[in-house]
Amino acid sequence: MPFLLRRIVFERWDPAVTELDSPLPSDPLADLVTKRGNLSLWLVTDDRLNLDQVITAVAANAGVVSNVPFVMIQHSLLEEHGFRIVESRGNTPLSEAANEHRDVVGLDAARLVDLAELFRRHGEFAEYSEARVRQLLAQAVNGRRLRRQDLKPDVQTHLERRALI
Amino acid sequence: MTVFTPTFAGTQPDTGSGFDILGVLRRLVELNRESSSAATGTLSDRQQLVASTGLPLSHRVLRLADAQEALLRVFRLSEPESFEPGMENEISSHMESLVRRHGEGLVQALQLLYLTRSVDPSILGEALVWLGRAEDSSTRDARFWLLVWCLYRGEPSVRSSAALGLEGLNDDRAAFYLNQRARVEPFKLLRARLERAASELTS
Repeated sequence: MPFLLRRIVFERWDPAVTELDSPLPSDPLADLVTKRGNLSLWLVTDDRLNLDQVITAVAANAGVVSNVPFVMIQHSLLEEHGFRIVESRGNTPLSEAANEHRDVVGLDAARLVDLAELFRRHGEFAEYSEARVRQLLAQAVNGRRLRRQDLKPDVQTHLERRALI
Repeated sequence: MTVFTPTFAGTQPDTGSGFDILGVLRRLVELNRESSSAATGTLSDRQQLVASTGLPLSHRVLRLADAQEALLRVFRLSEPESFEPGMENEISSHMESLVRRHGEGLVQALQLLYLTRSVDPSILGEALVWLGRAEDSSTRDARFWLLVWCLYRGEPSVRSSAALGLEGLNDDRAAFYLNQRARVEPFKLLRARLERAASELTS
């Protein structure tokens, strides 16, 4: 079964993940900001072969080149817990990845807490380094999968100064 | 492997001049905090400090004070909600130029701000990340030792940012310290970050 991925900030989740017996702290909720009750997530295939592409899609939309910490959870687990997941277009200049995106829809505050609890107990927390992200972005631009002018100015400058694109 | 002893920005404390440099610097931090707007007032306060200590304020101390002022100016404009991976902010935009302009003085000023508890840990953390990522060969060693020193601080957010800064600095000497810290790190995700950074620096 595929996974659903969300970019997060590790520092917000660390006490929650380290101390599973304690009540869920409120900080992780800052990483689950919804729009009209929908939460944006990226779809990662069960063999994870598109993980690099998803991370590139996330990084291509950022204002600076940086590490990408994230949490992944099984798609089926969210469905089992009654979350409704729909296809939606991802906000990224990497057009080939835009369809690898989903929304969890119809969330209210209580369900958002349920979702955060699932992430902390069953999520897989990982991170791509700044260097790896830089490499992925350069590969995408040089492979003509991503237009350099679609990157934010600081990201373009960062890659150009290092003669990567 | 040399055993690391945390010192002032990785160098021995300046005790040779025969006066409490850290005390003077702490007072400078206070003066700068008190006089956030008037530059001339700051200079006058500094002169008073010199008079009160009866000691010449060395060029090095003045440079340090200038670096500290520049840092505080950027920090005041920073919005902590923008301190997220991938988000541009005042610190990410200015840290490299600050490092180039102020050299090692900036590294020492940042450490001083930490020691005197003059900066919110979240702001310090963001500064450490971008201190490591700045491209400037002349300050590389000073930045390296400050970031290593920060790996052993009490605040998890400072340790976490130091790990990212060391990764950005891309100095494989950091792997030893990252692994050493990881062995005693109580926080799970931070431990994973330390181990990953160490692994990537040696691969």
